[in-house]
Amino acid sequence: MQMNRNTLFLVVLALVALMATPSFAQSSSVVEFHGFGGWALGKTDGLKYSFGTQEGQYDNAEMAINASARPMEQLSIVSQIRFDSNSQRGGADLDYAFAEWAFSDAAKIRMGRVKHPFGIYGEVFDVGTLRPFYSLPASLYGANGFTARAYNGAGLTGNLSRGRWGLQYDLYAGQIEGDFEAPGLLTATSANFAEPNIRFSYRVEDTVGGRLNISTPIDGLTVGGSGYSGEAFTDLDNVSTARRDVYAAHVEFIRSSLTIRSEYGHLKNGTDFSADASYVELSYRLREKWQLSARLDSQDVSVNVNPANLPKIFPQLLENKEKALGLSYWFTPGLVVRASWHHIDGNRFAFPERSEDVLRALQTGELDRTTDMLVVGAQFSF
Amino acid sequence: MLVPVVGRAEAVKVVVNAANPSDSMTREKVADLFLKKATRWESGRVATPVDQSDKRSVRGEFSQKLLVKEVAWVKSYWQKMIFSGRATPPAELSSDGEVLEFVRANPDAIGYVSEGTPLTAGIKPVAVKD
Repeated sequence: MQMNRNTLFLVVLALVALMATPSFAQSSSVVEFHGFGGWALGKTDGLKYSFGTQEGQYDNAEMAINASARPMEQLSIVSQIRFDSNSQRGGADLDYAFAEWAFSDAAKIRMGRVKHPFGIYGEVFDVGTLRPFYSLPASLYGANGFTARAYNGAGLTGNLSRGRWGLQYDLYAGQIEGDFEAPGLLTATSANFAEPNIRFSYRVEDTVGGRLNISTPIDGLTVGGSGYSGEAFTDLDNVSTARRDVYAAHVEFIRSSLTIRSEYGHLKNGTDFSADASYVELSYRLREKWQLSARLDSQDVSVNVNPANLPKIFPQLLENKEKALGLSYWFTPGLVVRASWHHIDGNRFAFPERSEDVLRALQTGELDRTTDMLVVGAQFSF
Repeated sequence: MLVPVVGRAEAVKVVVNAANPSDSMTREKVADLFLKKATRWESGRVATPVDQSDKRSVRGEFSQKLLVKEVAWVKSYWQKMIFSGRATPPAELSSDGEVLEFVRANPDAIGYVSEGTPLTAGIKPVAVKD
């Protein structure tokens, strides 16, 4: 699959280059290249959390290249490939590749592999220079089934404005893809019981979804909602197909030095499990270059299983409460260095690194509920 | 009420090609064109906004007065548009003279220059309604 995606990216690049030759030059014949990336060190006081480990994980690096062209007045072609040192897919992945035909500003159709229009960050999932912390809130943007990497299919998007009101909408249908990660302890009764964590890809087929963003006359205030529904599949033998319904609401306020963002989401996966996720993120610029940030993040999962068969530590595996404080220094809007401290309560995303520690937790019924993590890193875009 | 930006902002003059039928525009329309939330003139032709380098003070004046945003906000906005695959920013030119030359050569262009810049043949100012 990885080879296919890389090949597809090269084909799209070649098409973009060909279509941008002067013979097509009705409007902009320029192929534009942009990119983003980053590196971070994550170090925790015990359990593994996100990209942090007790020893300190240094090999968290990523880079993406974006190519776009407008060979005709109404036609845009865009593609992005991403390289991630921690990728489960072996390094490189096709983020998206799609064509867009604009009937007007209010109606544009998109076909191909399109970045998932979900919430505030869904479309700019990995772009570090568009957020106040190195990583996004795990509750909605972690590998947990809310936000997918992309949809494969067709969509309709557009902008409408009236006076100081603005509206941006997305409607789409097709298949969405994403990654899911859970503590191995959750599958303690299965063959994977000794694994520190289980991570797998999922797809939601026959998906119909949409997002609405409304910019209000209050300067800097945007509100909106997103949702989708479809049949969820995984490659795991012991996870059945189920109807997945996801909806979320978001609010964003950006004025001068102050940025406030908050989202709430609910996910229901058939009768298997459901999850509620929310976060509040606040940041403030000091003297333009410095930025202070704070975040509260929460996820609670409900699982439809018989409690009598569960290990004692099961409830804490279904919770994640994170408090984070961060400090960033912006050299330019395209380059930032940052440090942050994260205090995590619950083991939804924090788990032992070694199988023997998983077994010990299972046998003793004890697992450290809290994890502290320090992140130091740099992110850029151009 | 028509308020020429040159009078209001005391620093920025919005300009279009002399062949463009528009003599006045709302501030929101100017902002929508430069942020590519709107991409067409009333005639249906695709507008071609042209920006100035962020090293120039007139860029800051334009962002503050017409877009009602800081330049840093605008830079972030374009990062979001680029990496979500929605749009790419207008070309950035490095002087008022280059902007005038670009607008003169492109009938669908819209740009801005410092207030004191004399307009050459083929260029006209646009009054901006508040």
